[in-house]
Amino acid sequence: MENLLLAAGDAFSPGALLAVVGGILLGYAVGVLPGLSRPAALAVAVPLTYSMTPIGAIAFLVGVTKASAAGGATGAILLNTPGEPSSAATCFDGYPLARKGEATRALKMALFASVFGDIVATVVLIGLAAPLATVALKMGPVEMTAVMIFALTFIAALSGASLSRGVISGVLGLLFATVGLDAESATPRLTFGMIELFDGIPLIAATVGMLAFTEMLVQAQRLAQGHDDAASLNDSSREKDKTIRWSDIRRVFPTTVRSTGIGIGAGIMPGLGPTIGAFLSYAIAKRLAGPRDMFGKGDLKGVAATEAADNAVLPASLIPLFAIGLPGSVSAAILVSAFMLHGVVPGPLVFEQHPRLITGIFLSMIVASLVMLAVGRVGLTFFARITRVPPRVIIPFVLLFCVVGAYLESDIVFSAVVMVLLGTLGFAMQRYGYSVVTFLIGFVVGPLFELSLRQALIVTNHDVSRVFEHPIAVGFLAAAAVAAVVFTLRRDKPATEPSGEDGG
Amino acid sequence: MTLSCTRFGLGSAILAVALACGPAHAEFPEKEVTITVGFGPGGGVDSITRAAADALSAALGQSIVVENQPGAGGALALTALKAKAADGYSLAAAISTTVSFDPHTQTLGYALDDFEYIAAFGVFPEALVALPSRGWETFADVVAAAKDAPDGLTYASTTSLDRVVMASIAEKEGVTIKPVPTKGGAEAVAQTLGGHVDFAYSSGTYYAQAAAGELTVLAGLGKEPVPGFEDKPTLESLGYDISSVNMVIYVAPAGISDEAKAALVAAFEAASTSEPVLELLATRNMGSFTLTGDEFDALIRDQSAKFEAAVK
Repeated sequence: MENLLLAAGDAFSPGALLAVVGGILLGYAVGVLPGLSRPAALAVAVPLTYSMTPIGAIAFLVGVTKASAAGGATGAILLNTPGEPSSAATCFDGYPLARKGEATRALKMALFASVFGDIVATVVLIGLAAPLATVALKMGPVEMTAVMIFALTFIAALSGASLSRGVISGVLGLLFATVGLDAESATPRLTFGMIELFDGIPLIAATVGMLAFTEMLVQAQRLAQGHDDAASLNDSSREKDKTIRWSDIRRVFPTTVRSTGIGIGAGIMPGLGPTIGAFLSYAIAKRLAGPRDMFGKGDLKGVAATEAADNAVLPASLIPLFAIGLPGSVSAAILVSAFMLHGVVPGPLVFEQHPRLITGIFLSMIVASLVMLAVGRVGLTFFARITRVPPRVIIPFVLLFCVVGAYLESDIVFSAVVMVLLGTLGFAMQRYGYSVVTFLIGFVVGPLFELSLRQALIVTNHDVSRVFEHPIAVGFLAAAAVAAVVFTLRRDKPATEPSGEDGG
Repeated sequence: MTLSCTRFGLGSAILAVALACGPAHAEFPEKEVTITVGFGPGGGVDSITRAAADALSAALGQSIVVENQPGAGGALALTALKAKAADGYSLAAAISTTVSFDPHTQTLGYALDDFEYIAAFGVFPEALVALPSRGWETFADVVAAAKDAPDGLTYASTTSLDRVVMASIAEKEGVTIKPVPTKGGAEAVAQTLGGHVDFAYSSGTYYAQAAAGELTVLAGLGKEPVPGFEDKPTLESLGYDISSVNMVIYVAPAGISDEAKAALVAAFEAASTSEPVLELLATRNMGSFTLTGDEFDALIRDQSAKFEAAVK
């Protein structure tokens, strides 16, 4: 109890509060601006924390991470330019909603779902970290491979109207993901002797190029062809409806709760990450859609499903960090160094050694969620006006941020060049009906899946029958098989396939 | 210097003044020194460099700019450094193996002789670790277990270096030890804790778990035992002629002036005993080992030669 009071004193000290607010503002700004992304924000933010107190530093970084995930929905909804792949699924329903003149409704729903997912996952982190960390340790290579097969079975259904084009896009993404040093032998693959490619095609450059740059080229083309795009955007600026009603919340609530659960699950699994969590959550929500849902045409449920999951991943990915001292994600790894800078070594004993600090951090995380709600609520009134800005002003700004964002990843111009090249490739793919989102899922999942599969083969001594020694893996594989059969049968009955969205 | 003018003839006096007072021979450094860290912000190399920056700046009388250029295990930053002017104003921070090991296994755009070796801080407490429930006390027990295992053993690997080390041991002992590649120390330790692999190589992440008794240190990879686990052997003390002393290193492009090198070495010597650096090394269990100048140069050349032999 004494610790709780002392920790509350730390967490609500002016310095810590200032750090939280500063982190949220920086994260939100980065999230909202298409082209700038979470890893870029963290790269800038980490050196800023070197002179802060431990609690201030952690609160600041947590604020940046949370808010950039929540802010990422803004670009997705208003401009169809998600800042990172985890918000890409928000475009599916968020952008159609904005086009229908319901931009503010979509933004509000995204914010509420984000904050809900975030708070619930934080409470789970505080209350259940130890038992869930034990579950996380049970997930070895064989289990992770099975989980990814399970997730991809659902996500594959989002590939769009044409199955063959979806497969081609996804496989192209996988091919691009093979560039870099081979994990086992450290042999360079498809690097053409370029040392910049040893770590693979830079992730930020690829995602920013494919998502934001591509969309700007598409909009620029429309503008150049004289389709006065301003007309369509001006349509959406005349908003018909700005309020979220109780009936909306009642309708969306079950989806949000389920998506939060999926996000927490994805966060606990080592390395699965927000992109798979968000897409899996959207895919499951769409599969479970009722007859009145309009997924892909502007349904609030679609926005809530991705945003709740996306934001639930981060606190959940901190569970292994706080419980046993092992970071489960890139963001968590950055927090480890923030701890170490201040002489705190994360480990199984961190709670016993530093109870006041850890309790203080938990309190700051809750404070950060509430600050995020306030900043987001005030901000979205202004953000919604972006739709009134003509594309000829927006396009150059977004392109500039794309270049800056790609460059920030590793401070080399190479990344910016890759961004432009992949953005152009994305434009060509889009033009001929190949989904860039499916490409990116292949690109993001590829390295994870390859590594897990190869690890699984080594630990089972290349004996596939030994998968039966892993009950969790068998469970996920069985579920994936059932889902695949059900989806194939349903595909034959077009009446129950409610949408034909282009997935891009 | 002006005093000496009176003792020489006029011509040599002018020459001496020109040499002494010309801009090329002003005291190093006359502007800020940039250190490019070959790893991302927040990592071990980055935080140690930033902790040293204040002391370096005080010793040199100029500010220190710390940049990050992560990629290819530090090789990207060293490749970039090689192309920079050898004036002492551009340094890079990497780890020993970036120069002593990686060039032997990769086609890289640099070699050992492309750099001047200024200083090295700390030693990563590299070790092999396993779950206590396996009942192994030292790495010798692991080798014995591997001889009895029909399919051999698996271990979580994080670098090509540990794969070379383990392959040479497995060959010598006639056992099968299969590396399971992982993304890094955290994953390697998690896979060991979860019982998915038999043991793991880790360069430091394991330490908190080992201190809490949840992992057993089987052997250290360095010349000295792992700090805090002095009763455990090193691979060398177990009779294997291989070791890894991996440090945070600071290098300049080859060909910097002796004056600049001496000034930098002196500054790094001062920084290595500064409070923030020692504190950070202690937090990361990296000891307080420091090498500068010629000694460091000799060590890295020795390491490189040994690794070259092991790789072949």
